Parts: sequence; C-alpha cells; structure tokens
Amino acid sequence: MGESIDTRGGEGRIARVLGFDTGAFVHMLAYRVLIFASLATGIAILATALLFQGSLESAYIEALVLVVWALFTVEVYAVAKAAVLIASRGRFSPDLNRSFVSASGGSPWLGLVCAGAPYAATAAWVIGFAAIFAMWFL
Amino acid sequence: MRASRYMLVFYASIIGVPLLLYLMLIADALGAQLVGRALLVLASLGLIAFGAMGFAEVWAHGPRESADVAVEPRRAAAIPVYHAERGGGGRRIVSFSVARFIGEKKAVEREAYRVEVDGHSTVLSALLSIKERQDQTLAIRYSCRMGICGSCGMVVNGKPVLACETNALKAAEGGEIDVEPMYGHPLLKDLVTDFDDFFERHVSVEPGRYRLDSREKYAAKEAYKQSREEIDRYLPYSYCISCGLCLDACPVVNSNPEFIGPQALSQAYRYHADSLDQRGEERLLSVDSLAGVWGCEFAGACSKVCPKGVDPAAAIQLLKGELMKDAVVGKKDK
Repeated sequence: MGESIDTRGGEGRIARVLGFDTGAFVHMLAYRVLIFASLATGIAILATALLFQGSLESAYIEALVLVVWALFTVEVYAVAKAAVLIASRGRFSPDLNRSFVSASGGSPWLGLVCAGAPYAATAAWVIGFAAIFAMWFL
Repeated sequence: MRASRYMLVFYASIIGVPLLLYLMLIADALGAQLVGRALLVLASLGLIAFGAMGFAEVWAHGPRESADVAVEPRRAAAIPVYHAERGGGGRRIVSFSVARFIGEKKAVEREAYRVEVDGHSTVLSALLSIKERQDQTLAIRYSCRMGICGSCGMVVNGKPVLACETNALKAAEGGEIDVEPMYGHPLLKDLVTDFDDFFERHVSVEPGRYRLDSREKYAAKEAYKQSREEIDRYLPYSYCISCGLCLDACPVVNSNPEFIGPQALSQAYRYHADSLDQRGEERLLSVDSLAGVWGCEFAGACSKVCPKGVDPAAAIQLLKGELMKDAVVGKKDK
C-alpha cells in the first residue's frame, strides 16, 4: 500500500471534533484562550498592585477578571466532573457501558447526585459571574 | 521531578483561582474591599501559574510539521452508477461522497457513488457493494462485520464510527452520506489508516496482567480469585476492541500526536485497577508525563465515540486521581 502519511499536528486540528462534539471543541478553545487571558490578567493585576501602585478597582482590571471568570466556567465544569468521576470510581459516568452499569447496580439517587454535581458547581460559578458583573458595572 | 507533582500545582491553581475569585466576590459584597483586593492579588499569582503551566502542557511538544494533504474537488464516478432493479421493501438509492486518500498524490479525492440500500444495510455493506459492483479499487479495512473486531473505523458524516454498526438509511437522513478516513491516524490508502502507531502506543503501557509468582502460574495450587467488587473496578475498561475511534476523536492527539492517547491510557488504568496485576506503581509511573496522562485535557470526545462504552476519559481521570494521591502521599520516585 505504500508509506503512510501523518496529517496530525497543528492546533487547527482540534476543529475536527466540531463534527460530532461541540462541547469538546468549546472546552479545547476556551482552555487555549484562558491560558493567555489568565497570564495577561495575572500580570496586569500584579503590575498594577506592585509596580504602579495603582488602584485595583480600575475598569480594565475588572473587565479582565470578568473575562477570566467567564472562561473559567468550562474548567469549573470539567474539574467538578473529574472530581465526581474520581470519587465514584467512574461508576456514574454518563458514557460508561450501559449494560455494565445496569448489571452492577448502585443507588439511582447517588447517580442523580453525581450527574447533577458538575452542573450545580457550574451554576454557582455562573451566578457568581452575574453577581460580580452587577456589582462592578451596573 | 515527577510530572504528577508538577501537575499538582496546576490543578491546585484550577481549583484555587475560582475559589479566591469567589471569596473576593463575597468580600466585596460584604464591603471588605481591602480583603477583596488582597484576594485578587493572590488570585493573580494563581492565574500566572495556571497560564504558564497550561502553556507548557499544550505547547510543550513545540511546533510540529504535519503532512498536508490537498483536498481535490469532487469528480464524477468513473464507473457508471449502479441502478437498482428491485424496488419497494424500504429500499432506496442513497448518495455517498467518499474521501479517498491517494498516497502517490498526497491528496484526498472525493468520489461520488450511488448505492441501493434498505433498512438493514450498514455503511460498511454499502461500501462493500460499491467495491463489488462499481469500483474495485476502493480500499476498505474490515473483518467481522458485527462490531467485534474494530477494523472498519471511519468517519461518517463527521463522526468517527464503526461502519458495520452504522445504519446506512439513518446516516442518509441528512441527504448524502459523507465518508472519510480517520485523520487521527496516519493515512495509508483511501479509507484505510495505518495502525502501527496505534498499537505501539497500546503496547507501551504493557497491557497484560503482570504476575510475580511464576511458580503459581505454571503449577497453580489455588485459583486466582476476584470478588465482584474487584472485577467491577476494571471490567468496563476491558471491553476495548482497539478500534482506534477514541484516538481519532481525541482533539489532543489530532493537534499533538506525541500524546499517547485515550486507548493506551484506558488500558493502563484497566490493568492498574486489576487486583491480580502485580506491576503496581511501575505502570502508573510509566504514564506520569505530559505526553502521558497529563496530556489529556478532558474534552471527553473519546468517550462519546467509543462503540463499547469503555469511557476512556473517565479512566484517564481515575489515573490522574491515583497519581495525585500518590504524589501527595509521597512515595519515593522510581
């Protein structure tokens, strides 16, 4: 058949996931943007506080914090989901083999709590975003 | 320094930054502005740590030259379209657009076919019909035709699937059926991908029960027993049929092929969680690197496409949990 050709490599390839899992694409993209946003925000806060001895209540700092807050939503959901998976030894993952899950039993209430916990954490985080936005800008 | 200890700081910042920002919000709401600003400065340190370590995690492998393949515009099928003589019985003619990788040209050419299918036809059976009656040059890999061997992985309408488990009529609901090779593996010919790299990754985690008691193995005096609970810890991860769909779906593997990928890692966990395996910490440490378990960004696409419900994303998080526990407890480096 001849030699194979490897087309992998390059950040643009993460867009392949768009065809079947938009959530995964948003996760990947938000993480990449967050890396730069968090570096910029962290440096801006430190520089303002230490070097320029400026007030941290300036609008640009608050705007940067809000951007980071919004981008962190994806990470909060992912970390909460990972924590639930680790705590339940993967038993309550929605993607786990259904026949195995039904055969191995387990409390349906615990399953419901585990499935809802990442969404609850994300909701709390989003409420925080709304609250801080209202406090700073309205 | 072990990667897990390094990543401990990274994950502490992921948890710490939101926590500090939330505390800042509460302090601001209570009117304690000074405390709020102090928490913001603390959060900024976490943000810098997160950003710097995230940058290293994503771009540690450096720029990589990937082979580009040109995508040619669609051409008409060279061989006359096959028209079905029989009608009725839910049969209908569907259009296929097949992306064929031509190694000599380093290009992907799209070819159009029309095939008669019925309610029982799968994408694989339709492709085999194309091969038998319209175009003998079409290269496909397949074997069992019943979702066990994992040979016929390909991308149908943008999603990595087993062609033998994908109903052709359902796939054609959106109009044309779009078939492509799995670009998350090196391409060989048409829809056939090179699995050498995949199996090298698989073998690198030594996927097998490792026993120290060779005398027991060859002159066993007692059975190797496991309780139901012990079996349940690894059983779902042992359903893997090595079809490679998870590797194809993984956005990290697609952008950074140095990442070992979800299949090998799920198998590393499968044997690590097996109470009969005696490899212990050694297997765990073999995946404790940025190209190993810490390369996973938990997008979860691998688990979405797994035809057997193995859930590699969960297995990787469990491995991360084990490594973090190990790093905190502080066992000696090997």
